[in-house]
Amino acid sequence: MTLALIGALALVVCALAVVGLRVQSVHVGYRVDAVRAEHAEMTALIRQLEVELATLRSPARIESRARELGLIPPARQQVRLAREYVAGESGVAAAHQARVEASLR
Amino acid sequence: MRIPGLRTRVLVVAAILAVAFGGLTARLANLQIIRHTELTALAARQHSRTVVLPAQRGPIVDRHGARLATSGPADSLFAQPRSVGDPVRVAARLAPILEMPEAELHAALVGGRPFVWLRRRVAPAVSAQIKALREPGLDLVPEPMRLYPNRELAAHVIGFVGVDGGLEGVERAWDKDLGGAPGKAITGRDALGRGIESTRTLKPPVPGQGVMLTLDTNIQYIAEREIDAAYRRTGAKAAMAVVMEPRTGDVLAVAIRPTFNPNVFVDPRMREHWRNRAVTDPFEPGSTFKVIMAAAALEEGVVTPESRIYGENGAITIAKTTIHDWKKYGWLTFTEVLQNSSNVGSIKVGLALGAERYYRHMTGFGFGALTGVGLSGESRGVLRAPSRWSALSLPTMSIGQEVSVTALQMVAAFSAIANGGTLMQPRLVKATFDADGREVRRFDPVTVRQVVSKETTQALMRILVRTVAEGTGHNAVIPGYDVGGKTGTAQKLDPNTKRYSRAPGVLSFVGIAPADAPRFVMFVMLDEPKNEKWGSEAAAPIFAAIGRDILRYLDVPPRDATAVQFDATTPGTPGSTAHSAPIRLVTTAANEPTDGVVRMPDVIGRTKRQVLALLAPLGVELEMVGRGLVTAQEPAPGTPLEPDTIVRLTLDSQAVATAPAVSKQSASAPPRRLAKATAVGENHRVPSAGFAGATESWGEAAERAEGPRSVGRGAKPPSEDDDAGR
Repeated sequence: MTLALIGALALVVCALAVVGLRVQSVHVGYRVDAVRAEHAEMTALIRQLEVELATLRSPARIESRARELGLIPPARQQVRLAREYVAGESGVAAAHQARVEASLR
Repeated sequence: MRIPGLRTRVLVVAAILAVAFGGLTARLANLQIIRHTELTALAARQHSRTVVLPAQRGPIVDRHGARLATSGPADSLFAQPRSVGDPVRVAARLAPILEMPEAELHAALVGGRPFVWLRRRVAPAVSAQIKALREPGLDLVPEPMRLYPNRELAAHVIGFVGVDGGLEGVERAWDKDLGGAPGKAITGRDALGRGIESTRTLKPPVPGQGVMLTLDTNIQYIAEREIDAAYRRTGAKAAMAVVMEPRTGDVLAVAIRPTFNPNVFVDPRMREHWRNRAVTDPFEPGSTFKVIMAAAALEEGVVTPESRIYGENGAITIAKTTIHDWKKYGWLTFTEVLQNSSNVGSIKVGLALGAERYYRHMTGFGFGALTGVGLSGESRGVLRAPSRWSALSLPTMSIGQEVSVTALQMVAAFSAIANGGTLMQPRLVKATFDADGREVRRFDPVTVRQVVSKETTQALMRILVRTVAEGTGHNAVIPGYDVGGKTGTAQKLDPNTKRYSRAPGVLSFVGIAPADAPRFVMFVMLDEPKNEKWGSEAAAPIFAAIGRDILRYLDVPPRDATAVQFDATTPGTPGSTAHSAPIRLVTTAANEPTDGVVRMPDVIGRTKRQVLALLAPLGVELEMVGRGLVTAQEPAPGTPLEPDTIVRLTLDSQAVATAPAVSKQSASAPPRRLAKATAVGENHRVPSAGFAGATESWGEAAERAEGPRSVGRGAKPPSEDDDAGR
């Protein structure tokens, strides 16, 4: 009698566990769907932002904005050449530039 | 007790049951086993449909990765008029969003068709508004859209796409790589035929590969700006500039006018404007071609730069045809012949060189053959074999007539001269890369052949430098740099009289700068300019204007610039050298725990990424609202931080220009806990409204999608197979 009762109880517990897991998996499924949707949305957003970035970076736009701000290309005498950047000089930048040049050849 | 006949009755009932059960079993077996496949397919057709998942087309980028063509997500709006409740109301609500006349929308909704496109490829902001209407019968399907963020920039090289892929330029030539492969998915459908969310992907789409060009967006822009100005100023039929890096053969810029905006629907009548004239249109080069003749003559030892040639007082008669010079020249050195662009002198040298040798060198420089740049519609130009030459061919070819070349051939040939005589194959595509940015294929510079010796090119360069410094090319001078180059004027053959017309035909200039270590070779051409005060040298100042900005962009120091020593080290240390870093970079965000207490840093005006990097090591909890730059923070800077303090930040994309303006504008989105678990299923604001620049190209592209290209696809969404079977 007790054995049967324990057996029945065990059966019920097992059944409940199965049902519980089932419910859990459905919930997780919904979460997965939601995250997946968010991922797709984010991917779309990234692409959209990339387009916007490219548009904002277009040289034509930057030049017209710069001119609005009163920026103009410097005249020749306004440009100073730093010795660090002269090829053949001993500057760090010159050495770096020489390496870049060499890699181009 | 026995009931008579019981046994019989039991048997009868058993038999009936057996028959009935047997029948059911047979039917079940029939349905479940024999007709299984057929019926499953039938069921699948009723409650699911196959959807084609369009592949993302790969981007086209310049040599530094700047996007020249990219694909953006876009929604297309369609209506199923039968499900639309009140067409009048729907039309009235949609009209302001789509900026379309109400009557037109109404007509579409009551037209009686079961399916009608209202607008293809709407901007994200618009599609969000439409979704917010929640009108039955209106629906959006995603369709990828091709966008060209730089509009006209390099439009002729990039080309554009149609419904079935690339139609022109790189979009066409590299269509297979860019296109990718579409995928397939099955989407469920409820009893009413509406799509339900869960889709099963059968085959994921393979995104197209990206193509990296050798173009440099900045150089391209400089060239286009100047060419556009020249095109407008001179009223020319066409204007063009092609820039090449001589050491690798990289095409740095191809600027062509007239042009088109590939974002806008391309009108087939504008075909003239799409053509990449630099590769498709051969022309007679005129005097610029004398340089090729000179290279051949110097290489073959026919002349030296100092050889003296008699100018025949400005006229020479060959085969009953007299060819004149602009001036009556007497004795000239060969250098002066090129410097003054003497026809007579060039013809005499050409005659001395001879047809066979001249022809061999012309083909050696790549004329009369495809360059191998890999664009469709490329022309070989016209270069006939000596066996088909007339008596006049050699002299006229010596001055660049009777031979047709493309701009790209011209640039490549001059690049060979700038490159010590080594002809490089023009390279337009540097590499292809996959969706994650990994390189798939790489195209290294290809050496075609050694055309002439290094000594020849050095002698020729000295002549070209003098031509610019003292001769016909003086308008091409770029102050501070040695420039080598040659002007060209070619009359065009008048199709009516079969003679060269007197009007200016093709004005061109080919130049190399700086002459001692060439960084670029540029060909500039004006086709039939109408008003030009510079006369025959109209192309030279365009070269100078573009060249000056390119050299500055490439950081090429002027020849006469004296370098200045910037000494930024601490005063009073005389031993400081150029090796010490002149500027020490300090970060104001340094969170030095001076007294052992962790304090809150000032993060106003910083980006989300910077904030995360800054606050992550402090072990605080983070709540951020909005997107963009931080406009408000809590706790205030300098406040001691306990572990598990909650830091609240407000971000705002509008605040980009005026960074530290503390305002709590955009608290519309719920707070997101970035540092902890990611919130699920949360709505994100579409930022598009704040970006004025981007909306333009969306508008343009939508306009294009509205054009005839979307017509003829039938009244059906493009992504559905026709197996609905409703």
